[in-house]
Amino acid sequence: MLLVAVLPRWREMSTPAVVVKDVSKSFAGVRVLHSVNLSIAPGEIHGLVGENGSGKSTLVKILGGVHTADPGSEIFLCDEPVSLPMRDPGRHGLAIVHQDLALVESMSVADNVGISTGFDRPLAAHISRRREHRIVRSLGETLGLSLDPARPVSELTPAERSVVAILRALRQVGEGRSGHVIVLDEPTAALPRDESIRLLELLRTMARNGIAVLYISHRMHEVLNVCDRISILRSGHLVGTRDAAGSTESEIVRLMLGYELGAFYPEKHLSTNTAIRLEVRNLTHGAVSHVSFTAHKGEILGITGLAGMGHDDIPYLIAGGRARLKGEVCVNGVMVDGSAKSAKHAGVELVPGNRQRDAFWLGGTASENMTLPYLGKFWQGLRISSRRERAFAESEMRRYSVRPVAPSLEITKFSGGNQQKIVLARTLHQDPRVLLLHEPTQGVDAGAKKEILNIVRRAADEGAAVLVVSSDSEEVAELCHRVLIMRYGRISSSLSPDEISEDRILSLSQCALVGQTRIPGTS
Amino acid sequence: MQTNTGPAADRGVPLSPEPATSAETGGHAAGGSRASLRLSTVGPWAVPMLLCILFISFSVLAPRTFGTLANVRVMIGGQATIVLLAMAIIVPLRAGDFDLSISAVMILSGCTIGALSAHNYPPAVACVLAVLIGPAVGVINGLLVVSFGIDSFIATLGSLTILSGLATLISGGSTIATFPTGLIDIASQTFLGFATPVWVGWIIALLLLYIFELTPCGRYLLFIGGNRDAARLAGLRVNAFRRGAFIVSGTLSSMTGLLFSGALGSVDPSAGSAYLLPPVTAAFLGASAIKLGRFNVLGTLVAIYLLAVGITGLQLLGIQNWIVDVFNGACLIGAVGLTRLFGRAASR
Repeated sequence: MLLVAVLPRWREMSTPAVVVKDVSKSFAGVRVLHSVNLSIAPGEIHGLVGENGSGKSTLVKILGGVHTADPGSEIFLCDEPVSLPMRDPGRHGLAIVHQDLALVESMSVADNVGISTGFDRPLAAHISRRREHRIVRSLGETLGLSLDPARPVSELTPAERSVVAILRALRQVGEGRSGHVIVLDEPTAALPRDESIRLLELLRTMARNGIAVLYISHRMHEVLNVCDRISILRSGHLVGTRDAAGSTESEIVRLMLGYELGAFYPEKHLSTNTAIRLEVRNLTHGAVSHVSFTAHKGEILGITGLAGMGHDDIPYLIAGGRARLKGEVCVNGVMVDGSAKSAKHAGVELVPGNRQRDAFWLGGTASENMTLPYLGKFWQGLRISSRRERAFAESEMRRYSVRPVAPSLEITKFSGGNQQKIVLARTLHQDPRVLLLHEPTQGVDAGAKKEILNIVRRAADEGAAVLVVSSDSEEVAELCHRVLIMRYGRISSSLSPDEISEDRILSLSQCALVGQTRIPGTS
Repeated sequence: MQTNTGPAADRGVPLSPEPATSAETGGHAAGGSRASLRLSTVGPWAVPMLLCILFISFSVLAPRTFGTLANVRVMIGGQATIVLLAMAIIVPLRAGDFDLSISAVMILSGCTIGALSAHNYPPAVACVLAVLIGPAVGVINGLLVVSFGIDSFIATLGSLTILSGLATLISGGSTIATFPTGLIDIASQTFLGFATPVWVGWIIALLLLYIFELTPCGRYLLFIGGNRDAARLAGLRVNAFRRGAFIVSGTLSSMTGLLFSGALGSVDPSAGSAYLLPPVTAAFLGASAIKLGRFNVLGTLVAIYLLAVGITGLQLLGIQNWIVDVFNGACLIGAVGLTRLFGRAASR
């Protein structure tokens, strides 16, 4: 309660928690950061946005002591200059929560929180379980949540994992004192929207306790909602710092890209052809029960819902390869029996949500990953013609504006957006009759997202029935002709073209929560 | 024969699939310095270069014993069985599965021919039955690994042990030397100074090289080995390929048993273990040469001959026998370690 009373004072305090002054960084003569200046006050949530490759991660790595900044760069923490490269940032009161969280699955919450500070014990000393649990509980209490310290991380939901990573960061910077800095690198990228909202509330609580938060995200509406000020990076230059209150999404995106994005979402041309392409009847498996729907030629059908309501399984059940399903899936009158082969044969193609796990061989090149399903095309004179394969990959990469156009570059060297375009290029080349998209723009920056949505729109215009399964209700509202909302494995409502709006989708999804407490990390 | 896909080959991907560490690599794509670029182009050729350097140094140090045509023939001839078994094991390895039963299949098929001949079966029947052991074991391995989902290392370790036991049963535990003379004649036939097993090994290597590098099949195997789920979702018949790979490796191993017993004229049922580690070592060492991070034919051949040259050279220089094992192990760790180093330098 005391904290709330103290709140206004921090905002007025003139000593910033962290100042980044003229920080530059070059790799092999290529400058990726140009004299970036930032300052964050205690209790401020400061957003950092920019396209992939704009230098956000480089800046974070300089703060974390992974990279050494170029000479002339200075960083001050609580007005004291820090010698660069920064050693042991935790001791200076700065901690970083990386996107992949870096948690050990098999260990408990308390162990994961304690490990980065070595449990504040000499190497061979006894770790007091009781003390560790008490620390985790009291850290949790400062944020108004309770998390069982003994639970193994493998049992936690994605949102709870993020909470554990944040608790660890709090432990690293030490308890309670103001003027500490926590950097969050895309903490909500893997979270569905409702859970990320709760995580953002957590950030606000942290800020109220006097901690300066640097928050990096691709999700523009979250940044605008949660942050006090927003800094925008473009190709390594800081192009501006804005007050979130007076800014609009399009203004920030324009600064990020350096040009007008135009109407972000492609126009919805509604297809008049109502020939049924995909018919699903009584689909039942695991969390999905008795789901029936149809999709027309040229239609983009959205399926959404809160996390765990079953919509995430639907594309994989239709595309096959998982357990044999109950119910019927029919494409152009041809039955699909739940095997990947029959789905392919009927013209069903899937763009999975987890590209790295379900679409790519990470040891391969862009071209090897792109041409896999139709390698036979390049057969010439008893061998695969590498010349033809390369020419094909290059022309496809140009067509889908994949950057860089380098077919023999490893797939892991491409940014998330460009990887997604490569998956789309591969999928669309097979002329799908039914295109299944799972979280098509997850972890993708604004510019690439627009390009990807345009590609999806084009595929529908060319006659495919497109199924978009996404938890991004804004995207679903703007892109889809029709939207189905799932609740506990069933379709709870269906929105026709003139009924669709983001608010409506959100409120219909949240209906599922009435009488339920699914608050991550709290009980 | 080798068509290199340019920079595609210049990479140091670890053998085990490793999650990508950063989603945002755009800013650092240009980060490789010139020195590390040079390192990464050297990487694929480090093991071949080492082979050349060792060969030349031993030829200089021991010109009258090592640097002779006769010695080269002996070295290559001595590796014929290892080449065949290494070709057998890289097929399932490329598809992401171990097949440790190769050496046991070889010994069992050898013992089978001997035992059947001793009971006066016609040589042709004995040979056909012996060769059929391979595909049969391949089918069983495929069943255990693909259908029942037992880890391939464990499942084939089990079949290795069972098959060794069967070999002892058939042979009665003692060395078998009752082989048809026709088989011995064919196996000891020489052409240009190399015996039949050497030529068969090279022909199979050439065939696999073609399949691996120039046909969709080779690419499919790589993809299946690299990311099985993605391959399945991309529409590949993953299970069929994995089963097929086990059948191919089994068949190659039992054929090796045929040539092996013919060439030696006698088979010791307990000799299997001596023929297991060298092909596995060669396969992994080979994945750090020529096509980094991928099990490939040329790299495996280079690795086999590198080990042979090193060991023969050391022996001819009069160095004690225990050096052999130390050299084998050091080569494997050294080569794979260097490849990781090159890979890391290239991606920094």
